[in-house]
Amino acid sequence: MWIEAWRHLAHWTSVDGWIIATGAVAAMACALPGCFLVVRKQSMMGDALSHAALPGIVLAFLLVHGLRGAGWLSLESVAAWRHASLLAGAIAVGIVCAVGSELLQKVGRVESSAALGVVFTSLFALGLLLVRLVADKVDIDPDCVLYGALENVILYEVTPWGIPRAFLTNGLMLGLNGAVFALFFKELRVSAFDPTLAMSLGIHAPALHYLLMAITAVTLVTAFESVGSILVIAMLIVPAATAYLLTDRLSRMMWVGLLIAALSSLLGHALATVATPMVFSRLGYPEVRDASTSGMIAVAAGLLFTSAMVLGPRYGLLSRFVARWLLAHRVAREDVLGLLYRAAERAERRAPLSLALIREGLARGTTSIWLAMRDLRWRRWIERATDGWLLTADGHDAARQLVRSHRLWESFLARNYPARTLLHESAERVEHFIDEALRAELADELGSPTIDPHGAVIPPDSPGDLGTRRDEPRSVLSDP
Amino acid sequence: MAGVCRVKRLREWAAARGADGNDRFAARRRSGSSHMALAGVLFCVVSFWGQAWRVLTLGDHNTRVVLLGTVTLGVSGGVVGVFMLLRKQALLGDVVSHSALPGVAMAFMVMEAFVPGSGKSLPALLAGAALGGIAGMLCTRAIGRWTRIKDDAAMAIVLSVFFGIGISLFTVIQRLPAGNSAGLSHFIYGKAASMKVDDVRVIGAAALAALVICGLLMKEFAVVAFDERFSAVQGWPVVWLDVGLMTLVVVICVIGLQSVGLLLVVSLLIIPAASARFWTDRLVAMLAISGLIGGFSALAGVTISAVYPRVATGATIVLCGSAVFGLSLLLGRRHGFVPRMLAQSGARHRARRYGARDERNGDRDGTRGGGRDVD
Repeated sequence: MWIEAWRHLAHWTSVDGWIIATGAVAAMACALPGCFLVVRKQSMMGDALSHAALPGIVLAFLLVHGLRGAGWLSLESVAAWRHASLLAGAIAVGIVCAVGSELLQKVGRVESSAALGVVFTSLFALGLLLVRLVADKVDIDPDCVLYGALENVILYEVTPWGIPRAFLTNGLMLGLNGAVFALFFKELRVSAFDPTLAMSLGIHAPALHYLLMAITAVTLVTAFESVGSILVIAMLIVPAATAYLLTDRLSRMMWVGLLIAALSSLLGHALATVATPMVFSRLGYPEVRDASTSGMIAVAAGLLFTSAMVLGPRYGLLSRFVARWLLAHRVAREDVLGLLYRAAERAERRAPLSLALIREGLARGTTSIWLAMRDLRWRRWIERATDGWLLTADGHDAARQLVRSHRLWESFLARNYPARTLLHESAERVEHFIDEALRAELADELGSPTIDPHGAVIPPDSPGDLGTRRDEPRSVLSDP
Repeated sequence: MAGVCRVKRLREWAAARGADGNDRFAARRRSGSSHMALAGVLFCVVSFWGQAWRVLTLGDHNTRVVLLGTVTLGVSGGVVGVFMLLRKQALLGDVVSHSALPGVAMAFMVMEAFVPGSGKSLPALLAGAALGGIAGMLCTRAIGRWTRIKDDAAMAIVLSVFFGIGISLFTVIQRLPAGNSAGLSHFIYGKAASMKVDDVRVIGAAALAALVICGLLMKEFAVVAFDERFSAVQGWPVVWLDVGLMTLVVVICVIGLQSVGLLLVVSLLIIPAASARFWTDRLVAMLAISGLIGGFSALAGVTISAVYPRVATGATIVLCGSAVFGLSLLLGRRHGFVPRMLAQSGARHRARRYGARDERNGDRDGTRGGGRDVD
């Protein structure tokens, strides 16, 4: 299987290289505004802008065509003017969409997602209508606008230097986006997380909002040629969302987003040209040689997102599951220690506790107790005695700290919340999370008590302590 | 001069109306007369064309079929859309419709694999679309619930990735010997004109079922939409009701794929409901008005595109809906812009007349309301 994959890969030519490069550059240019859209909870605005850009494109084409017909534009300059007018049309429609939905929300009091939905579906319907109506005057293929034709663009539109025009335009877009976001990063960050604070600092948050919308619209239209309008949403949101799962800082999120965008372009082309023929030849369709690269870029971005969702080091489902399980295991371990300590306290001489009694004392499943016991044995904190288990010296130390935490906490609650009755239950939970520093602080605050509210002895900090302290036992409850 | 008098009279009329704003009978009387006026104007405009008249009298068989299918779709979309609007999840229909695409493609491939030549059978494709939509919905909920990704980003992710899968599969189908995906791309743009009687039967049955379920479960959907926690506490099965509503949305999106196409089907859910909101505050009235608006925009859209053959049907339906939305935004009785402005100016007028201090008027009559505090 790997040999077959390698064979497919070896067929890659410079065209494939340019396809991947252009896709990567387009995806990276889209990922930058996408990070801010995700953070500002305006991802569906990206969806709306990409739908709404269609009438802008059609109107721009019509304008250029009309100007040419009226003789204002020569044939050669039409191509250049077309691109400029496309961008202008995109910005105009982007602003209309953003302003329109906001007006509907504020003045019309329409619910926010419904306002967005009304505006962009109407604009998109208008665009579809225009495309069909003026199809003879203007050569827009609605399919192409919708899902792009990356391969065609690379092959047929090459500048004299051998570089595809799409790569240049997307590269320029990436440069422009990088410059704008580097310049306005601090202002955009503040206004994204706290617009009111931004306004009080003198940063005009609404202007920045419209700047972001305009940049998104321009980026979308530039990337349309490569991947079409609907898949541009994938490149806008998915790498940014993947980065959101992997890091907490906005600047790092943007870098990670760029990386993932480039990676999804590479992976997408590999899926389209290598995985697709392999899969479909096995299914019995050998004539399927490849699939659409732009579609596969979206799929690759989705795969990367899913792997980040499951395997992400901090927020991944797997890592959260493992962290929770490890915590449960630690709590089980400490519960066993506490049980053995208290049994040793009650008994006068060494009295081993049998497994059955341990199981009875803890409200836990058999497996977790068994695992806890094995862990304790491995650490040499417990040892097997004749008919049960005993704490070793190290185990006794660890258990002592735990029980000290427990009883100090009970004293703390009893001192500060006298009406509270469930001291033990609270301490059962909190004892696992009190570390040495907190123990010292509690002891200081409470005046180093030696008896807890239930009358049991609070274990000293280190074993020799009990003899060197003052003689009368002190409890929180007896304080005036 | 006459204009100024008219404005003044309008203000006084609004002031008088505003005084008894709580009189329900007055409200019904007022809304009844303006509804009829609106309907009259629209009817005159539409019946201007002889061909349009022929279409409306169901003279042409083809158009009759298309009309029946799309109007049923419009009405049921309007009704289901009200609940989605109330839950503030209006754009979920977009997710469902975009996720339906890979379902359609996979259904086609599976059918072709088992029974060559049967790939384009409508029930199979619609079943695939439904499965795809449900899968998209479930993925959105899963991402929103299990990760720190917020709901809107989850919707955008699922929408675009599933659509990407669908487009890739479409291009694969194009390369298959059996598949020319010409028939399948109608699902993206809609081709209402090619609706057949069998399709209309499927659409009509599904839409009717959706309407019946909405009617039976209206109170339950309403209580879950307005206050989920309260309904959970009261013992309603919130999760199942949620699932039921989502299933209705999937059904509407799937049957709408053929007529308006997947890119525009979300507008059938949003626009009539949002328009109806301007006319009333009561749920039953909102459902009725929304269904009416949906049906009407479908009617108008099909009529216009029958008169002008180059005009795309789906887009026209949506634009008619938007036109009604615009009118409702301006003229809606309850929350429309113009009645609100009139009520506000009426309130100001009343306040000035009854002597409240107003910087612009100053205090002409020194005995009323006391003198000014500062000069």
